[in-house]
Order: sequence, then C-alpha cells, then structure tokens
Amino acid sequence: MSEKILEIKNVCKSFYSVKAVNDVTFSINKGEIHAICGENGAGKSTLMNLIAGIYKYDSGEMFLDGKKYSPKDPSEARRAGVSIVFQELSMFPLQNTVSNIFAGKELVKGISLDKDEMKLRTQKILDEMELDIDLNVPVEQLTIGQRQWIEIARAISDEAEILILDEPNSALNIYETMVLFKIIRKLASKGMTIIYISHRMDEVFDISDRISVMRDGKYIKTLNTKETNIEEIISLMLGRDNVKCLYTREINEKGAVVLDVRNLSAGKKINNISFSVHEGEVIGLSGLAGSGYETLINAIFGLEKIDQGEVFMENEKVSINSPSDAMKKEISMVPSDRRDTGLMTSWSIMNNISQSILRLDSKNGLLDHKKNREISEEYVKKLNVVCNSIESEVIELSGGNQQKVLLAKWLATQPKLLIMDDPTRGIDIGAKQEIYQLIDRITKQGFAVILTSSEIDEVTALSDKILLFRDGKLVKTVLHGTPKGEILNIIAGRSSEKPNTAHQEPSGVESKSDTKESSMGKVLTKVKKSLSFKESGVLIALIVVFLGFSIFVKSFASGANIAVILKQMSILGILTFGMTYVFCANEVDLSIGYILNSTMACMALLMTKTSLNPWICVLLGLVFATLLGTINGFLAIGFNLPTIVVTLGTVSIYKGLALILNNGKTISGLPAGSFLNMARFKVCGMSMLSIVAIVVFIILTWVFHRTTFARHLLLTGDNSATALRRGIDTKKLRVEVMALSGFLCGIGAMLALSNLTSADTQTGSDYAMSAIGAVVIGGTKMGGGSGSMVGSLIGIALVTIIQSGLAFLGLQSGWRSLFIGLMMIVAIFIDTFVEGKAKKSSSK
Amino acid sequence: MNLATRLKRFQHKNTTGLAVLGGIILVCILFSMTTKTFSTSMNILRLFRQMVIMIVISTGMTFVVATGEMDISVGAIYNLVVNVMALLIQAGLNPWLSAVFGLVLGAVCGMINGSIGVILGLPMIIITLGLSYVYKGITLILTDGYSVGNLGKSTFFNFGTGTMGKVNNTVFVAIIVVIIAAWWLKNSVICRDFLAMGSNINASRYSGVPIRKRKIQNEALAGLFAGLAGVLSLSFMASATSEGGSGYEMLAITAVVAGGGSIDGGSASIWGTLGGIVLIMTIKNGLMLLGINSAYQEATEGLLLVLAIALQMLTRKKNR
Repeated sequence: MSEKILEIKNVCKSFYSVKAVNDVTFSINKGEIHAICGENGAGKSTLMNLIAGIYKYDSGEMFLDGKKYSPKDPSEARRAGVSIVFQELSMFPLQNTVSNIFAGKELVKGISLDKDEMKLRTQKILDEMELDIDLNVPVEQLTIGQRQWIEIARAISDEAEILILDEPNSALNIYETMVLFKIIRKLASKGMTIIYISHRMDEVFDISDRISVMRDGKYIKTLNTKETNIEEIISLMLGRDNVKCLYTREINEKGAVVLDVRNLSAGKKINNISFSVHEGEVIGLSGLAGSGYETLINAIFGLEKIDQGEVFMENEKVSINSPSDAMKKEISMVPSDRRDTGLMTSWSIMNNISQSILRLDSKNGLLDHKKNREISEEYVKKLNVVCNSIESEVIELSGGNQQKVLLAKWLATQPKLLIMDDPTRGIDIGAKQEIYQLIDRITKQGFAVILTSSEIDEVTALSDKILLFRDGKLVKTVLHGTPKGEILNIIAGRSSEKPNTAHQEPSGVESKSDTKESSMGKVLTKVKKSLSFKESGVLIALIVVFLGFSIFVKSFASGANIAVILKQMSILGILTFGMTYVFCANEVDLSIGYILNSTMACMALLMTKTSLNPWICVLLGLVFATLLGTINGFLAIGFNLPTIVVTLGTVSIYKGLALILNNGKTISGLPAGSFLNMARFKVCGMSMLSIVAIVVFIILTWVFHRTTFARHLLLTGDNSATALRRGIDTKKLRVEVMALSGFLCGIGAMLALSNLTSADTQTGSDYAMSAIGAVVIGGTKMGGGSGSMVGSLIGIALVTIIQSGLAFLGLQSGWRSLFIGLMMIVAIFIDTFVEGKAKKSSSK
Repeated sequence: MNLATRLKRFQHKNTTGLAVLGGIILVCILFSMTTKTFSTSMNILRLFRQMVIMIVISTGMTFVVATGEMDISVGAIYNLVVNVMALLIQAGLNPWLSAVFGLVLGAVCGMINGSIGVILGLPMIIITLGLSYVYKGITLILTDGYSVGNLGKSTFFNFGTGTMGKVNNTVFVAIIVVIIAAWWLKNSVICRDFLAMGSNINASRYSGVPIRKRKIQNEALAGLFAGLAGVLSLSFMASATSEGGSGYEMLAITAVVAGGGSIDGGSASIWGTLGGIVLIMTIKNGLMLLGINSAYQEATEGLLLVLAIALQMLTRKKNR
C-alpha cells in the first residue's frame, strides 16, 4: 500500500461563528490523484486554503511526510512542497512565461539575473509536460488553457510534492481540459500528489484515483474511484437526510408571455438559446460556473452584446444595448454581488433604493426627493428592512438587510420582468425565507421572474421550470420539484454527448494542436511586428524629423547646434530614463523638473557660500535630490495614494523650495575648477555631459534587464496584488523607484549646473512633461508592467530635436508646449490602438 | 434612534465642515493680530474679489472629483478663454458676445478632455495633464507670449469693475453660481449619476448610468466653469497675460478635498469646497500681507494639498 504524504487530523476552521471546516480527518497518499467533492459551501475550498497556508487552522493538526505541518503563509507552504493553483488565475499579464514562473523567486548569479538558467529550467519543465509555449510573448497573448498550464508549471518549478488544483478547468474548453488531464496524469506518474477539486462529476471520475466527499464542512467518506459511481457520490454529497429547501412555492396560473427569447447567441459563451417567461412564472436557470446562464441574463439586461437571435417583450421585438434600454422595457436585474455591482455601500438606504427609478421617473432631470423618500419608506416597510432610518448608510446593515435594500432598489422600478441573480447569496436562513416569500408574493401579483441560485435546492423549490445549462447550451428543461440529484447529474454529470466527443478524441487533439500552432504563429508575428513597429517607427520619425530640419533650416545640422542638442538631450535623457523606471512600476513623477531645479540651487548655494570642494557639494546635492524623491515615495505609501497625486502636490513644494534656496534670483559666481570644466571637457569630440549620460544609460539599461530590482518593479507595475502574494515588498519598491528618480534628477542637476555655470530659476520647469512624453513615445506603457529603455532613448532624442527645431524656426515656447501635450496624447493613442489590435488578434 | 447616535452622525457628517469653518476663523484671528491691514474693509473687499475666480473653478472641480477623477487642465482652459476673449474684443467683437464665446470655448475644451478620456479609457488626470500643455501652447501661440490689453470701453468692463454696496459685482455672480451649483448637485439626476460613478462604477453601470456620456458631460461642466471664471476675470482685469492660470487646478483640487470631497469620488459638497477655497485664499492673502516671500507661498500651496489629502486619508482610516 502506498504511503501517506499528508495527514489531516481533526482540523477545524471557523469564520466568525460559521464552522467552514469541522473536525476533518483524512489522509492523502503519495502519488495519487485525489478528488474532493462537495456542494457549494461544503468546505472544500477552505480546506484547500488551509493546506496551502492561505488560512491558518483553528485546531487540529496536519502532518506532511510524517512531520507536523502548520504553514504561516503560502510561501512557507511552498517551501514545504505544497503549491496551489487557484480558480482565478493570478498572473502578470504583460510578462512572459519565464518571468511569470520565476516571479518572486528569480535565480541570480552574483547581482545579475540568471536569465539563461531560468529559461532553461522553464523549457525543461514545459518539455516534461510536453507543452509548446512561446516563452517570449507576454502571457496575456496566450490562451486561457496555456496560462493555466503555466500556473501548473510554476508549481512544478517549486518542486512541489503536492499540487492542489481548485477547479482548474472552469474556463477551459473540452480539448484544453484533455491536455490538462494528460499533464495531470503525467505528473502523478512521476510521483507528484495531486488534489483535484471540480464540480464536473464525469471529469472527476475520469481522472481521480480516490474521491473524498465533504458536506457542511465535515468529511464524509473516501472511496476508490473504481469501486463507486456518480450516483453514489452525489447521494453522499447531498446526504441521506437531505434537508430540502424549507420553502415550497405554489405554482400560479400562468399569464401572458412577458419575455420571449429566440435563438440567442452571444460570443462563444452562449449558443442558440430559446425560452419564454410568462406572467406570474418563475423560470430558474442552473448550471456550473461558466456554463453560460450568467451570460444569458447579462445579455437580456443589455450588459453583454447579443450576436444573434431576437428578444421579444410582450410580443414586441426589442433591441437592448444597455441596462437603461432594458429598464425602459421594464426589465430589471438584481445583480448577484451586492458590494461590487449592486449597491453604493457608503450611501443611504434611500439614495440606493431611489437610484434605479431616477431615470424612469424624474422630471426635467431633477430628483423628486419627496417621492423618493415615500417609495423608499414603502419598500423598506414592505420588505421589512431592519434599520434605524432610511438615512442610514447601507454599510451599517447586515448582509440580509443589504440584500433586501438591493431587492427594493429593483422592485421599485415595478418591472414586468425581474431577473434575480443569486438573490440569497451569503445571507442567513431567516432573510432567505423572507426573500422566498417575497418571490411568491410578487409572482402572485403578476411579475415574471428569472431566478438563478448557487443552491440548487432553492431553484427547484421556487421555479416553475428550470433551464439547465452546460457548455453554453441549454441542455434540458425540468419542472418544479425535480430532485437535486437528477439536476446535478445533468449539469455536472455525464452528458449524453460525452461518448461522442470521447470518440473523436484523437482527431480533436490533432486539430487542436494545429490551430494552436497557427494561431500562435500569427500572434508571434503580430507581436514582433508591433514591437518593431513601435521602436523602429519612432526611429524613422526621428530620422525624418532630423533630416527635415537639416534640409529646411539653415545651420540646424551644424556642429555647434548638434552639440547643443546633445547637451540638452543628455540632461533630459537622464531624467527620462528615471521616468521609464517610474512608469514601469505604474507610477508617475511630476516633480522631477523642480527636484532638478532645487538641487541645482542647493549645489550652487553650497559652492558659493561654503568653502567645500565643489565635488563634495555635488555629492551633498545628490543626497538632497534623493531625499526629495524618497519623500514622494513615503507620502505615496504612507497615505496609500498614486504618486501622480502626491507629486502634483510636491511639485509646488519643491518649486517653492527652489525659490527659497535661490531667493528668486540666478545664483552665479561658481568657483572655477574641474567641476565647471567638466561640461567643456571633450573626449574624442564628445562632450563630457554626453559621456556621463551614456554611462548612466548603459548602467540603467543593464539594471533594467539584468536585476531582480527592475524585474520586481515590472511585476509590481503589472499586477501589484499578485506581486505582494509572491512575496515581493511592493511598498519598499515604490519608495525605491521614487528615490531613484530623485537621484537621477540630482545627476541631471549636476550636469545642468556645470553646463550653465549658474543655477537659474527656470531650468526644469517643463522637464517632467518632456520626460513623460518621451517615455510614452518610446513605447513604455501607461499603467506599468512594461518598458523600453532604448525606446525612451529614441523618444528623448526625438523630443529634443523637435524642440530645438521649433526654436530654430522661431516658434517660441507656445509651440513647444503645444507639441509636448499633443505628442503625449498621440503617443498614448497609438499605444492604445496598436495594443487593442494585438489583443484582438490574440483573442481570435 | 436616540439622541446620542443622532449627535454622532451629525458630528461624523460635519466634522470636515466644522474643521474648515474653525480653520477660517482661526486664520482670520491670526492674521488680524499679526498684520494691521488684514481686517481693514479694503483688504476684505479685495480678498472677496480675489476669491471669485477660484470659487468658480473649484465649483466646477467639485463635480469632477465627485466622479473620482481629477482635472488638471482647468487652469490652462481658464487662461485660454481669457486670452481668446481679449483677442476677440481687440479685434472688434462685442465683449458680451465674446463672453458667450468664451463660455462655449471652455465647455468645448472640457468636452475634448472628456471625449479623449472616454476613447483612451485612462484616468482624466493623465489626459488633462497632456491637454493642459496643448491649451497652454495654443494660448502662447495666439498671443505670441505678450499680454493683451487696450480693450477699449464697454459695459462688460464696467460690470466687472462695478460694485454694489462696495462689493464687486463679480462676487455676486460667484455667489449665485455657488448657490445654483449646490442646489443642482443635490437635486439633479446628472449629479446623482456623477456621485454614483465615483462611489461604485460597476454598480452604476448595472443601474443604467450612461457612463461614457456622463464622463464627457462632467468634463464639459468643469470646462464651462473654467470658462466662466475666465469671463469674470477679464471683465474685471480688462487685460490678459499668457502666463495666467497656472497652479489654479491645484488650488481647486485642494479646496475640494479640504471641503470634504472624497479623492476616491462618491461624495462632494459645494459648500465644503467654498469653505476650502475661502480658507486657502485667506491664507494666501495673509501671507502676502505679512510680506512673506512668494517662494514660501508657492511651497505653502503644495503643502496644503498634501496636507488636505493626508488629513482626509487619516480621518477616513479612523472612521472605519
């Protein structure tokens, strides 16, 4: 008999007073595929989160390989050999596969990232899994299936002994699922232990060695898959004393047809759905997550685009493109997530209830406070909302009462058709009963209702008819009171089409890999094109602009002017490189111009007022600049604000600081010596300024590509929540990047001071915008996660040349300002446009 | 509901309002004691007049902040309107007509902001950062960087310099604007939608709020108020400079935040904003009377913004 790898003994976990996991004891064998089955709320996911270290258990013990196991956090669980792949993917969409797999645990050689080794290891893992994934494209351009496999590959790279898959295939199509299963089997055959959670019974039976059943937080039984069948597992999941929904609605006489849906299709999510709802009727919708019924109700309410088919309201054909269209046709929808899509939790009950009727009842666009109050009071009373007054904020209410407010909000519109998306989610039994009674009452009044629920009991008890969905299709319609087991069998069990698809398996896989390759190829060429398009496009623009100015503007291309341009470019370039880092981390620094200006003043003041060596003054100035940058960072993390807002404030402070330091006058009379000579010193015809800038550029580019710091910046900018989960200190990074930006301003100040030989009050005033414009032109994305140092270099060259050219043409600061602004908007526009296209092509 | 909770709620809702009011009184007392000129009627009347432009711009900004956005182009729009109007008047257009044109121009600039924001799907603060440079550039190009003066005589300028009971006419306009805006914020569907978008954008989509349209309307409104500020400014000054309006957006944001408008959107108060701007302008005025270096005044403005936001974030944490 195989040895036990994980033993769970009397483990309990409560949330508030609810025992989510109650005294669970069982064990997992080494190298097996162990499925966990249970209804929603049976405690499966909570148990998995306990094993993976996301929650800590209250009591009981776990043993991993015979040793006591009690992980504090996911990274400790990972080190112990337990990895979890979540239902929702937590990835860095703009990073490539290698970055994703090694996020937060990058391999380093000395101080540099060991890219080759990481790539090699990734390739090895993917080869072992027999997967062909392009390692160079951002994962957002891969299919959902491929992304799922990368998540698994990440677990493998942790050298995990136990891999937990929590509904890994809810978003996968049937072929992708087959590949997934192949991978799982292969991993298991190599000795990895896999815990698998799924609602799809047929798949559970397909893949698992043993099945454990949980119910109401308790462990029920473990069975060998070969010795059991779907019916037995379902009956164990439901329990012998299966308590039915405590409520049974009487079926009313049906009235006229309210809603008639004919052959509705929306994207790939639902396919050719037809049904109708009558007055006084409740139509239940049920299916597993992703089976399409959620899309159906969203399509009816105008939140999802309808591709094909017709919708009739009371025999009149309607076209619904937005929720307000739907509301005008007397359709209302109670959304499932009251905090996210349902209510304004910081608003009063009255304002929430009246919000839905504003558009329908208001006269001349004005609110009728008196009527709103009356209606709110009416519905608060009708639905028995327990509250101090209708002025109370919704957030102060209990979940059940919040839900009643949400119902009131939509009942107040007095719709003909009311869609209720899981109206009893997360509320207590008493409130549920009230909602059941309410549904009964309103259907007696002639409302037509479409109902969904995460609890099948509820749907069967309340609906006249239940439409069952599987894989985007309406598979069967069953009547009121159909046993839950039967419904589960249809939506989660073996479908009638299954043998058919199994038969086609070989050919299906083949055609799949074909399409995969060709689409991959397309994506690849597309990406290469767009990348080269971005940078070479800017390069071509640069050349054209330069040639244009050289030809049409006299002495533009003269050595003297080019030297001026290069000097200007050197100073601005250094700031731009810093801004590139800042952008990658999804931050913006508006204060760089005035950090530079005040640092210049600071250095000049030290040089003129003290007898210190100028270079020591420069060093002190650099510290000063770094300090100003650090202040930006600390303000941002201290008050949890975006840096653009923080620096909008500090830009004035630093501007004032500069004015205080230089007293509104140019500081001149700097001591002659090596510092001032620096700007005039030439090496091989190149100014020292440019050489410093080139050195800075080379160092920063190396850091950008080769260090963990820059890699973590990109990861944080891409998806800071996931970065945090992978153990990256995002707060520290934010401060560090702002400090770096400040430090580079200091370097820029040093060069500018040496060049100008005095600290004036104007230098730097529009550097921030020039730098931002250059960074955006260079192809670094607004929103973080990707950046290009070379792009920024070309970008700043373009900006400086155009600015110089405009000056030569005698067009003064107005044109420069106009140009900077337009350039930034156009660059973002092109970026959004190109990216939108790339995304579209990858989704196809 | 017992008295205690009632009192608590009142306190909770009005802490910022009371704090701002307290701040204004404190600052007034402070400056009255430290300077001879602060509490003279001449200074107070001048202070009122100086406030007008910022009151109007901040009122427009209140609507923007209500939706959870920030517009940093209002200063540039304001100055563009002032200069374009001045040029039109110089070219012989009736000043009143050019005022109408100024209002339209402000609203159009706002609509451009909003439309680009909707197309690009980026926060308005970034869009308006870029466009503020565009507006500044256009202003400089049109004026060649020179001031525009010598606008002749007109009832328009008489109105701007005229007084009623010693108080400048534009002050009354500003007061009327504030009253209308405050009423409108409370009573209109559009403003309720603005607040809804700031409070919970997903839920407002599910409630049928036409989000794109409202965003454009919102920005157009901010532009219109900036335009109105420009009209009032020109009617008093009868001249335009190409560098005017810089930093106004920051003062406006500071005033809105200090007045209790949440920087995440969802709540805003015109009266609060009014209190905020009165406080800021009084501080500025006092610093000027004290003969404080303009550098410190500049730094104070930035400091006030950071402070206002910081206070809001800190008090909010406590409430939770």
